[in-house]
Amino acid sequence: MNVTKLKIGGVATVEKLCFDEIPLALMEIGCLPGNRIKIIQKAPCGCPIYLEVAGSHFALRAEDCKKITVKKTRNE
Amino acid sequence: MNNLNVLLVGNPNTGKTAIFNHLTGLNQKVGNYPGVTLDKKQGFFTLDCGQKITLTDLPGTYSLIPNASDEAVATEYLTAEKGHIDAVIFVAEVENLKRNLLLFSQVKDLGLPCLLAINMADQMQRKGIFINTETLSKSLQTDVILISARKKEGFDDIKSALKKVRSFDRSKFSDYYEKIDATYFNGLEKNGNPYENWLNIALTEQENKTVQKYLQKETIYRYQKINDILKNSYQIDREKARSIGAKIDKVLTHKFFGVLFFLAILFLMFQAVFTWSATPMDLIDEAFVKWAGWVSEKMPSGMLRDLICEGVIAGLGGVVIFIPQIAVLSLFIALLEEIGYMSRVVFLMDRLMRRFGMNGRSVISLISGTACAIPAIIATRSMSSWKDRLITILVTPFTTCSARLPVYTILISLVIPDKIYGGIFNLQGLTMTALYLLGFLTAILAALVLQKYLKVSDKKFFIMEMPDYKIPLLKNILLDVFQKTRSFVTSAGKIILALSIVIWFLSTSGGDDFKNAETLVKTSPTAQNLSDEDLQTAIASEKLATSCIGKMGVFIEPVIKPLGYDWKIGIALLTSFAAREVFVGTLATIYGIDSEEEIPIKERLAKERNPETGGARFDLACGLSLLIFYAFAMQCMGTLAVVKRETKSWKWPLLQLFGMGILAYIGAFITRWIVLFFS
Repeated sequence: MNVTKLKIGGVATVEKLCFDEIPLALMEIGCLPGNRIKIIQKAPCGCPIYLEVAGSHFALRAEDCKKITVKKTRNE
Repeated sequence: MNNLNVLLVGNPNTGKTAIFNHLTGLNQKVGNYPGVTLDKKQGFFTLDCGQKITLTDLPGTYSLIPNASDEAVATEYLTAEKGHIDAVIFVAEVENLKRNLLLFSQVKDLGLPCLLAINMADQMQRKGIFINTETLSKSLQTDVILISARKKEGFDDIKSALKKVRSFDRSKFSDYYEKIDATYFNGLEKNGNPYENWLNIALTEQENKTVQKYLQKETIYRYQKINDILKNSYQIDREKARSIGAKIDKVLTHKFFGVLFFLAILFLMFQAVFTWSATPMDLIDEAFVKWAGWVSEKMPSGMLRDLICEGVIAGLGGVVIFIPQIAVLSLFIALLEEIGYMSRVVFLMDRLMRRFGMNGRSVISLISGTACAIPAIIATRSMSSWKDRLITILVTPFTTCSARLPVYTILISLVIPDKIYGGIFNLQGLTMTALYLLGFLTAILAALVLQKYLKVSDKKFFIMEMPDYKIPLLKNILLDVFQKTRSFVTSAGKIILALSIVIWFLSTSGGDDFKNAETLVKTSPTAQNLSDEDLQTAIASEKLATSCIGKMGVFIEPVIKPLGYDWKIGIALLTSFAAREVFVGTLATIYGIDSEEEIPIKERLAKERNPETGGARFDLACGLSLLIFYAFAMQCMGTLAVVKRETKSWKWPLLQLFGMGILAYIGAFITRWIVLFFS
């Protein structure tokens, strides 16, 4: 599943990225396969999404989050 | 001994600028959201061995492959000036060290001698962070220094490390090119630094799929190596690191409570601007009236005295009186930036702003545009989407900037009754609030229109760092407030001083009919029936009408007549195209010329009569129509110049000048006729 499907507080591991579409900047902040993602908050209407990825805190838009496939690890 | 050229490089939000301030003692701003350190800034300091250092603060960036135009500055400077750089102080931060090291690895690969300064070391214990600087230093082949800009710790270590700058290691961070595609990278230019050659290709061929793929692989390899290094030298307890920030964010970024909080902050801010500044403004007003009175007593009467009292002092008074309001407004904006709250606003507002062709970052520009449009437009450099940025630049001048306040305040006090409705709502205050809302609303509607008609190709990608909340440094905030206020007073002061001299000169000189004005009035048949005082007034206004400026005003009068303005207001309108706040000073100069006593500008304007109706010159129709004109018109040379610089084209500032001008004219015209229709 992709990141937008995670609920607030949900934790997951990055499994796969659509390398053809993903902006380099996203990888540069540490959004790489194997790294931990935690959803901290979602703005009104679910976009953008405030998340912690590999320890960094960023807000990303839903359409960019869709390009990140994750595997859920646990709910908090 | 030559000056050593040292650079400060690092990610945004690492406290780079605080370090710069502390090392150089140079007064400058420390920001908490991307976009504050926008231009290269330099400062100087001396080591205790006598070695002089030139320190350059580069804008924060996450990578040498820039994502927005403020980030591009660092890459351009590093590659262009590479030969002249003696050392780089790379600023990282304890919580995000891993991400910080990505940029560090790129800078290192350029072959630059680096020093790694890890800031916010005072937070390590609270955040559950452990760093083994010795191991880290060995694996990075770089001196590592823990510092705290807030506690002023570690700066001596930086200075002593800079003494042995010549022996800094210049070895590369990695050689992953072989792993990505050995044939491709071996085929690249052999001369010079291999990473620099690759960077040049990557920057010029960003659309190339192969280049994109290699950049991605490169990033992965870099992180692999960073992870390996940090495994032995860095530990962090992620839950502890943000424990306080996470609790605050639960409320402040909440889709309901967060928005509510933001609206409350906005309300509080504008409320404070008016209530806190009321008393100091009254005091300033009184002081200037007294000053002018004192000067007119002490100086011999004549042209020079009139110029100083009626032009210069009155004009400056019209600017200085707004210092309290600008200071309060800047105080709020600086405080919100410094705490780290602005990025939360960006997060909450992004979705809404996208509907209007902008993005969350535009909100920062629109809010800081209420102080001044110039820094607000410069702040758009942190936007990666050119179309969003262009639209934000074009609509920001609609927000009610502090230069409009003098005009609004005086017109409102002239035409809106000082009445209280429903126990708490002051009618004058409501009008001011309505004008602020009108500014925001027009900006947003204009964005909506521009979004439809602007044909600009663009990449849409949005990323916003959410830094941890910080306890603001009082010094940084006060410095910022002082700098903003000072620049308003000096820039407006200069224009007003110059214009009041020009206007005064033009209004006291003229052709033959100007010279004959006095005798003409005295010998006219009606003069016999006038009292002495009325005769003087008649002479003075005849003189003004036949002066150079009077002729100019009369020349443009047909154009502004439909709006209900006379030629005197016309002159004030014309001069306002230099800067809006000139309006009050110009009127003071023009009307001051035909009055003898020293009275506040407001009373002077209230006394003006409209010869056609016999009523007040500034009646409701004229006043409201002027308010609307000033709300819409692009009357600021400074802003036009900045838009030209930021868009690199005359097309956009001209669009603003004429587009907003036409809107102002039509708006003022309609307003006047609505008022006339209902009264």
